[in-house]
Amino acid sequence: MIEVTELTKRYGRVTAVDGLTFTVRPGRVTGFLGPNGSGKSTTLRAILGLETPDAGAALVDGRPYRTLHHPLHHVGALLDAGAVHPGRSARAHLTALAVAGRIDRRRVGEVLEQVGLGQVAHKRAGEFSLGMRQRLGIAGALLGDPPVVLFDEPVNGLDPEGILWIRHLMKSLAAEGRTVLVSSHLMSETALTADHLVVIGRGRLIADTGVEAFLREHGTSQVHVRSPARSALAGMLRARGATVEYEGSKTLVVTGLTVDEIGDLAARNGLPVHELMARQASLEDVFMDLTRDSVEYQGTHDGN
Amino acid sequence: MGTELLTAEWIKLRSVRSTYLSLAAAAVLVVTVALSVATTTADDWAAMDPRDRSSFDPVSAPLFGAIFAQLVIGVLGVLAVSSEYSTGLIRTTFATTPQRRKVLLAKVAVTTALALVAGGVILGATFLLSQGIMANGHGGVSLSDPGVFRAVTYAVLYLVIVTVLATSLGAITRSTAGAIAVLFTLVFLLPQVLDHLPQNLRHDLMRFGLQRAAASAVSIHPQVDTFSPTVSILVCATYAAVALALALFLIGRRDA
Repeated sequence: MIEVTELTKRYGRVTAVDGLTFTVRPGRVTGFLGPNGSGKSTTLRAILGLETPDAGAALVDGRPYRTLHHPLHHVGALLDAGAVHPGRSARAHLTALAVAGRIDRRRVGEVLEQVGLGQVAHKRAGEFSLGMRQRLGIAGALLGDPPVVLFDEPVNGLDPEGILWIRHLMKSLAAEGRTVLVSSHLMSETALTADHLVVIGRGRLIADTGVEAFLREHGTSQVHVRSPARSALAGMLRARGATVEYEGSKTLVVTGLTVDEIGDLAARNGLPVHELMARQASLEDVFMDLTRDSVEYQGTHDGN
Repeated sequence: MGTELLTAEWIKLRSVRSTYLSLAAAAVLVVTVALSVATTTADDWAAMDPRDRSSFDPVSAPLFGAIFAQLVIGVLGVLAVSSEYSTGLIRTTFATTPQRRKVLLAKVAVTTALALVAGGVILGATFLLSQGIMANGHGGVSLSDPGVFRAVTYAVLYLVIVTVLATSLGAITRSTAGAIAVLFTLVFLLPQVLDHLPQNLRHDLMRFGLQRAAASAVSIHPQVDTFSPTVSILVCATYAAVALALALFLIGRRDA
């Protein structure tokens, strides 16, 4: 279990994490979502005792990380796949980690096999692809067989097979009763693995909820209507309280009415409809809507 | 401290090529310079002016290459810390061992032990080699001559001190280039600055420069404007002690 309470971290005048509170429970995968620069990595580093918060606390199993005895037995973390000396072999890297963390050296061979690097264990990490380095980082996180695991953007650089592998890995770790926290800036990817979501923007909590509840609440659906009489139809739809936007030369995007209601309305008034299509807002859309105000670095619109 | 940290740092040090390259480069530098100095001296000895003979230092002159070797060994110490910052590995290291001071002390202990062994072997062998060339009345001395054993020992000790200094600088600057720049400044530039001070200040302060203190420590002839060899090596050690204390102070306070 990870408990983050009123966590605040400032760098000079920039507040990276601002009064953040959430709990990560065992037995499920918790997705930690936010745009780039929203404070996810800072929060993870604070949980691992690498950064000293300006206020608040982050506890692992009720204790500050720095007070844990041999912490690799409690928490495994993948922070940055590049965090390996390029001249050191995968095996030497993990062996040094195991020795310092008081973990049986036999675990090194086991985790290397587990992540699929058994054949290249003797190779220097500098020769690894980004995907292989991610796997090496994950091997390091699993070394101490820890009940709590943190993964910072683990699918970066993985090929499709690797992405499937890590989804399966995270689900099985949670199924074994472990606490699994996975950060990502990709909502759709996270929704495929996570059971629970913690969404942050500009260091503040935006949502802390189950994935399904999140979609029910925020997944507004739109209806696309293609009609040669769209102006007349738009007026009628607005009179019924719907929000209507024009798209292209023939299409309306309607929010607030169902496909059935729109179809019936058009039929009663004798207006031709060439296409009527419900479209569930994508997870990415929901996420963008939620975090739009909190995006740190926003590109300028191109005027279209 | 717990030997697991020492073992872990030793594994890290011996599993990268730069360690072996640094040691090999240091050995080649020291031996090449010594061979050159010793053969030239042995050839010229009979024809040398008596005053040149008496000012010739048979220990420190052949070991002149150590002036460059100290930087090579120093880089090894710098890299033991700075390479972890440049790759981000330091976060994994500190997450594994939140007692950061112990991590730094383990790194210092391991790099220093390596410098002691490698420095002892390289400088000891080079001493014997060069004295062999200059033996039989060509300027050579033996370990049992006054001050000789002390000078060779202090030469090794000086390499060890520079390694402590360099490793600490790696932790203070958290950057390979930064640490090497500071090391270079302390070893070469600061003594130059002291050398250009007004006469009265220069006279008092030059002896605190690393270069001059090291020269005094490894010389068998008394030097002008220096402390005794033992005080001089303590002056050198003070640089390392201050740097290490500052590194230990900072490492617990900064975010990783």
